[in-house]
Amino acid sequence: MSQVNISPERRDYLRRTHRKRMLVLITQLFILMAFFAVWELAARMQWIDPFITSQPSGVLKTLKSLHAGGSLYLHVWTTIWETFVGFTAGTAGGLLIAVLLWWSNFLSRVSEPYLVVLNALPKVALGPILIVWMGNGMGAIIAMALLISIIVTIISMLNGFLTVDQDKIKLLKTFGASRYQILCKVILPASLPNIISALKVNVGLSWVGVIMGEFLVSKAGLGYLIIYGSQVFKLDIVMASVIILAVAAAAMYLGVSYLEKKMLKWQQ
Amino acid sequence: MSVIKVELQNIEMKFQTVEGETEAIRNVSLSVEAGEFVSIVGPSGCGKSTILNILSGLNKSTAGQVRVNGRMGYMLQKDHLFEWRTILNNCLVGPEVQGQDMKAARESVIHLLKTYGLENFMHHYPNQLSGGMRQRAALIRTLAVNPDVLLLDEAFSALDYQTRLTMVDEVWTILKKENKTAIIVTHDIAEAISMSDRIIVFSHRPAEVKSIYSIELAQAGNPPLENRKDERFRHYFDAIWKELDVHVTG
Ligand SMILES: Nc1ncnc2c1ncn2[C@@H]1O[C@H](COP(=O)(O)OP(=O)(O)OP(=O)(O)O)[C@@H](O)[C@H]1O
Ligand SMILES: [Mg+2]
Repeated sequence: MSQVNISPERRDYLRRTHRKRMLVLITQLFILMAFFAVWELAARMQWIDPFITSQPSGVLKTLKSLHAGGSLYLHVWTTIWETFVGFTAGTAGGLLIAVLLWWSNFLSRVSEPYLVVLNALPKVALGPILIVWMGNGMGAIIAMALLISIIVTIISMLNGFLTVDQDKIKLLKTFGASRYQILCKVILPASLPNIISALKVNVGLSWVGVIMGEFLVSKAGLGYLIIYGSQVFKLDIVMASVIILAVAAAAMYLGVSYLEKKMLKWQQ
Repeated sequence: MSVIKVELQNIEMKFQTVEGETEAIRNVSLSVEAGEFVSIVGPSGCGKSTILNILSGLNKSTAGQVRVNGRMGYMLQKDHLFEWRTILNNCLVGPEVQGQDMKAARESVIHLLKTYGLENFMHHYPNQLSGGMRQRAALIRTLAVNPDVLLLDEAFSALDYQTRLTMVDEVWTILKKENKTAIIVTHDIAEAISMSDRIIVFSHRPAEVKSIYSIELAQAGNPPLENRKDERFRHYFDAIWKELDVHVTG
C-alpha cells in the first residue's frame, strides 16, 4: 500500500524508526567485524597463540584450499543432507505418531510412561548402540538426529492437540463431524503455530544429533572435519567448520521462520 | 393446531465420572411448536446446557424420549470462529462437514452475509471483526446448514451490554424472518422475557421443570427491545425472579 498523503508527523515517525533500525544493523555489523579484526590482530601480535586459537586469515586460507580441493562441498553437503533427512523424518514421524496417539486414547495412555522415560534419557547415550546396529555410516548419524527430535515432537504435538479448545470441537460435532473431520478441520489447523514451533526446535536438535553422530563415526561432514582438525591440531580447519556450521544452521532456521510467516498469515 | 417441532418426554441424565455420579436432569418433559421461541432459565449448573446437548444429539440421555422434527442448529456462548479461516469460510464449515453441494452453500451463505451486513467482511479474518459482528457471523454459520430449530446457549453473554441488546434484537429479527423455531438458554431473565413466547423455569440440579410462563405482552410480536418497554414486562420479571429463588446474603 503506497500512501500519497503522508502527514508530516507520520513522515517524522517513519524517518525515526528507519534511523533506529539502521543503527541497530550497523552496530551488529560492527560487532562482527570488530570481533574478527581483534581476533586477527591478537594472533598477529602474539597476544594469543594462533596455534591453538587459529586466526581469521588462516581460516580463510583453509577455506580456500578446501574449496580448491573440492572437499569443502562434500563435507558441507553431507552434513546438510543428514540434518535435512533427520529433521524431516523426526518431525513428520513425530507428528504422525502424535496424531495416532490423539486418535486412540488407549494407545496414548499405554505409551505415556515410555514417552516420559525416553524423553528424559539423553539420546546421545544410544549413539554407540546405533553404530553397532546400523554400521558406522550415514544411517547411524541420521538415526541419531531423528531420535533426538522425535520424542520431543510427539510429546509437544500431543499436548498441543489435547489443549485445543473443546468448544471448537463441540461446534464441529454439532454439524455432525466425524473424528477424521475434527482432526483435519480443527486439531491440525489450530495446532499449526505449535507445529511450526516444533519445527524450529527440531532444526536445532537435528544439528545437535548430526554433529554428535559425526563425532562418533563418519568419514565426511562438518562434524568429521571438526574432530579431524582437532586431532591433528589444525585449528584453522576446526574454526572454519564451526563458522560454516553457524551459517548453515542459521540459514535453515531462517527458512523455517519464513515458512512460519507464510503459513500463519491469519495471526497478524 | 401447530406442528410439534421438539418433544422431550421424561428425560433423565446421569453423568458418570471417576469421582462419582452426577444426576443432572431428573425428569424433564417439554414440547416446542414450530415458530415458537422458548427460553429456559434456571440456577447455574442445573442442567440447561445438558438439555440442549441432548436435543442436538451431542449427548444421549440416560432415560426418556427425544423426538425431533427437523434439523438442529446450535449457537454457543462464544462465537468460536476459527481464526485461520476467513469469515466466509467459517460460515461454510457446516455445509463442508455435512458434505453438501459447496457451490450452492457458498451462494446461500454469501446471500446471508449480504443480507445481514457482513458483505464487506467476508474475506476478513475473525480477529478483524468486532464482537457483535463475530456473533452475527456465528449465527450465519449456524444458519448455513438451514436448521429448523435453533438452540442458543448463552449466545449473547460474552458481549458487552449495549452490543448484547442490539444483538438480541437482531438475532430475534433474523430468526423470525427465516421462520425458525428457537430454544434459548439464558441466565438473563429480562432477555428471556423480551425474546420468548414461553419461559421454562428449571429447578436446582437435578433439573426438573419448576414452572412455565406464557409471555403475553400488551403488543404481540414486537422485537425484544420494544418488549422491554411493555408494562407487563416488570410483572413477569418479578415473578420469575422470585421463582429462581436467588438469595443474596449480605
Ligand atoms: N460431561 C460431563 N461429565 C460429568 N458431569 C457433567 C458433564 N456435563 C455436565 N456435567 C454436570 O452436570 C451438571 C449440569 O451441567 P450443565 O452444563 O448442563 O449446567 P448449566 O445449567 O448449563 O449451567 P450454567 O448455567 O453454569 O451454564 C453440572 O453439575 C455439571 O457439572
Ligand atoms: Mg450452561
